[in-house]
Amino acid sequence: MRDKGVIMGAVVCALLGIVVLSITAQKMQPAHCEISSIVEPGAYVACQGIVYQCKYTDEHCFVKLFDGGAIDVPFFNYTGDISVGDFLYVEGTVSLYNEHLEIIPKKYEITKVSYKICFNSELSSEKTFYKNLDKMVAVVTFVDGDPLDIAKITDSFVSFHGRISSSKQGNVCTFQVFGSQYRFSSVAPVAIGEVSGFGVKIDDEVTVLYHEWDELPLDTIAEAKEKPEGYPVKVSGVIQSVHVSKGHIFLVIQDSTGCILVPIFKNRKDILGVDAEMVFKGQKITVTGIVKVYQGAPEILPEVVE
Amino acid sequence: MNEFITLLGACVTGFFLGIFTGLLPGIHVNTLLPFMVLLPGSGRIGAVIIFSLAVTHTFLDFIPSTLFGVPDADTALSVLPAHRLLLSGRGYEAVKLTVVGSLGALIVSCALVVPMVYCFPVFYNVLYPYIKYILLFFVLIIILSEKSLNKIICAFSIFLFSGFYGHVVLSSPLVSEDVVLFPVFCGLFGLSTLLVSLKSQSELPLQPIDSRIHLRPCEIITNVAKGAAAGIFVSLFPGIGPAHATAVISVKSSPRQFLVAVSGVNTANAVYALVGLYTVEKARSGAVIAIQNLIHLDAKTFLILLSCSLIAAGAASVTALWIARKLLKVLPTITYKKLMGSTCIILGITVWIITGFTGVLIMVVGCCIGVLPLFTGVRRSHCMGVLLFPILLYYLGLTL
Repeated sequence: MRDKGVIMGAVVCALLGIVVLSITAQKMQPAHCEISSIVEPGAYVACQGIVYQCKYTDEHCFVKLFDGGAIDVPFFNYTGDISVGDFLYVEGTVSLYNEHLEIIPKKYEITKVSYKICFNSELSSEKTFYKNLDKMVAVVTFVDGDPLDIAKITDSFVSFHGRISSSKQGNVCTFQVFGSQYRFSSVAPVAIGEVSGFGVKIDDEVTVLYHEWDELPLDTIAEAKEKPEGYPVKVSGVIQSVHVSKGHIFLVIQDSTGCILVPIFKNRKDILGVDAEMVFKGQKITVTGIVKVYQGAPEILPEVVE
Repeated sequence: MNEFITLLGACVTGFFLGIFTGLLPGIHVNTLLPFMVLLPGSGRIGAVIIFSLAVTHTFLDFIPSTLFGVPDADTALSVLPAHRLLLSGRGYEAVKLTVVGSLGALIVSCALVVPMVYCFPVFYNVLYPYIKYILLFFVLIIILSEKSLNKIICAFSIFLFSGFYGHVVLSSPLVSEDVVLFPVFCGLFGLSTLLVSLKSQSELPLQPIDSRIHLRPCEIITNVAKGAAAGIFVSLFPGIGPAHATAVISVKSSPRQFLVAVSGVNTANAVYALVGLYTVEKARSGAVIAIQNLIHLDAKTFLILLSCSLIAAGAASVTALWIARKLLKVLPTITYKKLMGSTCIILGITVWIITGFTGVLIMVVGCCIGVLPLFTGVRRSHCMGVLLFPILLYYLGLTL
């Protein structure tokens, strides 16, 4: 051991320096900024907004944050719980990955949010904000002392109501509502049916925050035949004829208002759980499906056969 | 033929840019990469410029750390051994050792590219779950390899000291993440070396341009292989940089052996970062991310980039030795204390300009920690706790 005095001096200075740096770092709060103001990598920023997309892969969680503008926030080796619709406060360094800016989080706070239809009495609470979306009311738990411009987020809220004309199940369910120009995505799986709710809209995509789903109401066959192509319907009737050709099954069903063709193509038989031996003339059947016009005549491409 | 000339031109451009980034302290390859957005749609040509730049940089960046004691993140640990050789009149040998290490590692890396294309995904998948244990094991090896209990305690304390320092500095908004390592390494390895040598040395001895290397061929081959292996390791795992691997491979090496190995790590890492992109589609360095943004890396482009790296490496080797010869003729004519004193001042001003007052404070604290190994007689690599400690916390899922 040489130069004990120098060593002690260096240790004291280093300790003192680490303490000073640590205190400075604690007190150094980055200015809150809007996501749209983040334009280049390298800056240390603090943002907050609503989580509108959340993907878990292996040990990582990739979040998209929205406050009127949108940015990616990757959480590496993440074991916590973030869901679509949560409020997220994040501090970190802006980085560029695959030509997209992202915030690498150093500090963050998640506020769980419940979205629901609420009563007037609940709206008086200081900890809520709401937006009247026609008949639906969105209620979001407010974050204490939140400087976030809530209007920017609620301006992006849209309500929807209608019939689901197609849906695809995956990690996130994506679906379309007949007549709507938006594509919808929902954490909860939904099938063809009637849906109403609200979500946050970014470009043409709506992330569903709250929805109510119901089965389609029964239409008469005459009503179904009047519907435009692509419209989802549910009809009930008696099988008038069963024709099997090249593995496809063609059913004609009839109710008191008329009859309609229901083709069950062979690649759909397993999905629908229908076999040629299971269907016979005179059997009562309920079909939920999409109206299709083939050679000028309407038919129903089935999604559910009961 | 036209394409060949265009690609050669791109390679030469990258080579000159690499000389610029390599020689200027505080300027890293990543510093120039944002300007590469000026090359949108340049595809393969842009990629060749970037890769030639990255490879050339690894040959030249040892010159400022050897001759002036100014390190960057990749060359930090080489400062002391290289500077020791400089102070004993072997400055040219120090630079030559790093050139030999880089060139050797590049040749080994290129020779191993074909098997590595197949092995890389296997290594990645097998080793990734155990990375935290591997790191912990190497940290323990580095500390326990000290010769006495007292030194082991000192080494452990310095590792923890550096670790807490790294944790505070690297996980806070004190200085922008892009430049934070500059004041850290200037303090830990640069300023501390300069101040201690200022105290003990009054004259810089004459620097004969002696081409001899005082290492046996087998020692050179072993250390080139070590550097190449460590380069592969670095490019496999996120968060582990050449400095981490350098700390690991520096156990029980002589200064000359160490210089060969450490220079090899950087060059091999540059090559295997590209292999990583090609095989597991993971970009592990700023240069490779920039390449990924420009092109889809197919087999043909991969081979073109490797060929250009060989051309750039050949030219960079000759250039590095030529620049070292010119500088070493001038250096002994300047009073050593004046040279080191003015280097300290330039270092301080550069850190101030790039990172502000906070950066200078970070450098001073780093310097206080950096002098501890010099006075306690333990290895300098324990200061790499500055990076190893935070990365261990990350992999172990711990927060302070």
